[in-house]
Amino acid sequence: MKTSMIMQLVSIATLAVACGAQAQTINITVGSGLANVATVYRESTVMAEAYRKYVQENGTKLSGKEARALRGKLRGATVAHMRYQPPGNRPEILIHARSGRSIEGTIEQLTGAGGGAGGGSGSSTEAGEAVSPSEQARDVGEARYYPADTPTSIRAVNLERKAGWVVQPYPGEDGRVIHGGDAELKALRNLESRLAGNPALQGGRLTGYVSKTVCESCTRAFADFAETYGVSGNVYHLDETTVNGVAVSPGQRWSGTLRRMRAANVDTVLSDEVLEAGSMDWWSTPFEAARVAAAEAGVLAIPAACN
Amino acid sequence: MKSLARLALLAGMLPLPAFAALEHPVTADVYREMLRLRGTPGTTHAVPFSEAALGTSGLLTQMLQDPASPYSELVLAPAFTNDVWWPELADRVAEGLPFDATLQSMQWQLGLTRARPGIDVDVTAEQVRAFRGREAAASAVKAGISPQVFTTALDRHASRISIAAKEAVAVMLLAEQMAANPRDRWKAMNIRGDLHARYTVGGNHLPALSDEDDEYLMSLVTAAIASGTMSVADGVQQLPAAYRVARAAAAYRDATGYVSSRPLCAADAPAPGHPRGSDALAEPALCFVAATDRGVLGWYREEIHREHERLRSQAARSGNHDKTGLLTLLGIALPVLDVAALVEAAELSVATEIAETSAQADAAIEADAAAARSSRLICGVRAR
Repeated sequence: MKTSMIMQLVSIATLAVACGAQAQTINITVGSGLANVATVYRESTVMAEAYRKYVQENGTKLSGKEARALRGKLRGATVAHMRYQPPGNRPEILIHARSGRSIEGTIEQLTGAGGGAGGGSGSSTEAGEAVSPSEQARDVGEARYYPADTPTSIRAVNLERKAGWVVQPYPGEDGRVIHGGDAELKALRNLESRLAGNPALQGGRLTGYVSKTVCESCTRAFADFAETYGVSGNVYHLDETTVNGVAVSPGQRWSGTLRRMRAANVDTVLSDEVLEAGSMDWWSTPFEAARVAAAEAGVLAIPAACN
Repeated sequence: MKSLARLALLAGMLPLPAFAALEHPVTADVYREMLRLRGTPGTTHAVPFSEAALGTSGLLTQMLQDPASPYSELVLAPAFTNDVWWPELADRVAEGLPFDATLQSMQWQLGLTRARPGIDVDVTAEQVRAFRGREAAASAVKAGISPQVFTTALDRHASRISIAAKEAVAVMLLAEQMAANPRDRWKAMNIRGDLHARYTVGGNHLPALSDEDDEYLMSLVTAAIASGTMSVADGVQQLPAAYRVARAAAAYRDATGYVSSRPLCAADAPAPGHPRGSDALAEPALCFVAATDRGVLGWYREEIHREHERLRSQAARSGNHDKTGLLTLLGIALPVLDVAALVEAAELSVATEIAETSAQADAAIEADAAAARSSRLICGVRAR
């Protein structure tokens, strides 16, 4: 991420498209603040909730170690929220994205089950060119665990790159192609799937919010996307780096806040008792405020099961 | 609803609420600062983090006379204020301010204070009119809600006060974000000035909000609850967002009236015959002005479940899913509300923060222990 850090505040200017249209730019800069964090936190809670529903519905049993690994993965996953305003009065398109494989693929990866149906190991195969058809199908099939898509609000699924599409994970400085499953790339590829072959939607404006520094190999994808489809705009990301362990800038401080918020959320909605019971519905669990007040006041014994 | 729209118009002309009784010059999060002071290895008053952390029950037992009651009186001088580290904490968070300022701010921030008009909250005659009653005004002012936003959210959601309360606080948070940050940073901070302008334009028409607008507002208030954000508006520190939402809902409940004619309050205290212990939380409403913010939050969490049940059964009866969006809006903040009143969440957060900045292995162990304590309490609240 070092190079990405250096590239912060540096816009990725692109050349004019061949037809002579004005050069378009997607600026990638650091964002911060409560409302920015609120947007990406919402994306991350939707993701955690989807996993909870999946575990409930499928009666998935995870060992303590696997459960901890799952929570760790969900706390750290990149999430992205991209708004695209096409030209004219067309409605805005909103794309929600998260990094990584399908839920089933992720759990298989953690438990070692399934024989790598996701298409192999490592993020280089999680999206883009190398994503397997079975992994795509699983990701699409998991729609029921997420808020329903609408024509203008879409969950980004793993898509295979098609001929003529430009969004792809480029090699980083070390020559390796990584970050194929990053949220921002998934979102952009899904947007490309709508813009490619539909000139009426091209030439609009993109505004994005990403939970972590935009990956180095993704910045070129944004540049190519801007150039090919005449799109301008801004992508704001939080900054997960620190200076000797200390968050110095607002983007770093808010990134730390988000990390702690996500940890608390994941630990609550995917706690051991939720995973072990496999049947807890947040709403249908009886709620008694008096009992909670007693627990908070220390006059309610904590059940042995919680020790 | 026309009368409410007219009221909104009138309310828009009113000055900002007077917060004279609510001024808390200490804007630092006192409990977090206490944990940082005592839990950071190598400092003067450092103790193992587990000793610095008092936990929800430890804290409430020291600070409230009857910790399980939503109507508890405060303990005027908690034992920890006699400890050697307390004056240093006071210096750290409230340098140059009266000695009591630190304790008062801590009581305020932890939701231990009430909303008795003229005692805990100053309420003007204009506010009583704008918020449709003295009790409603006290809770609304304490929640930091403007009269216009109060009325607009109620008009939009009618009897669904759980959603109206979240929306009203969200719009105020948005306004506070707008005031606190330069306009040229709004986009990078995702501050939607356009949405605020549409919401507060006034007139006879309710603002037209898209599903995305609704979700933005609910996400904003949820993040404020989850992060423990305490805004400063017009130089006045606001309550933590969870307590603001609960107070706003209490204001709506008081403003919209009750089915029963049996009074809830008598002289700003629970009316004779009403339960005063934790069993009061099983009642459909509290004497809100006499209840602590924590007590009101307990009621609100039960109310949100009741509202969810009503919506679900309406959806089931009508055989359509028109209510799906509302159910989603209602549910967005639910998991964070479950832990909002637990200081274990702050303890875990500070322990993690210390571990991240400390080279000492003990700090990581303490963070793990804090995580275990936090999950144990959450489990205890939910397990049967």
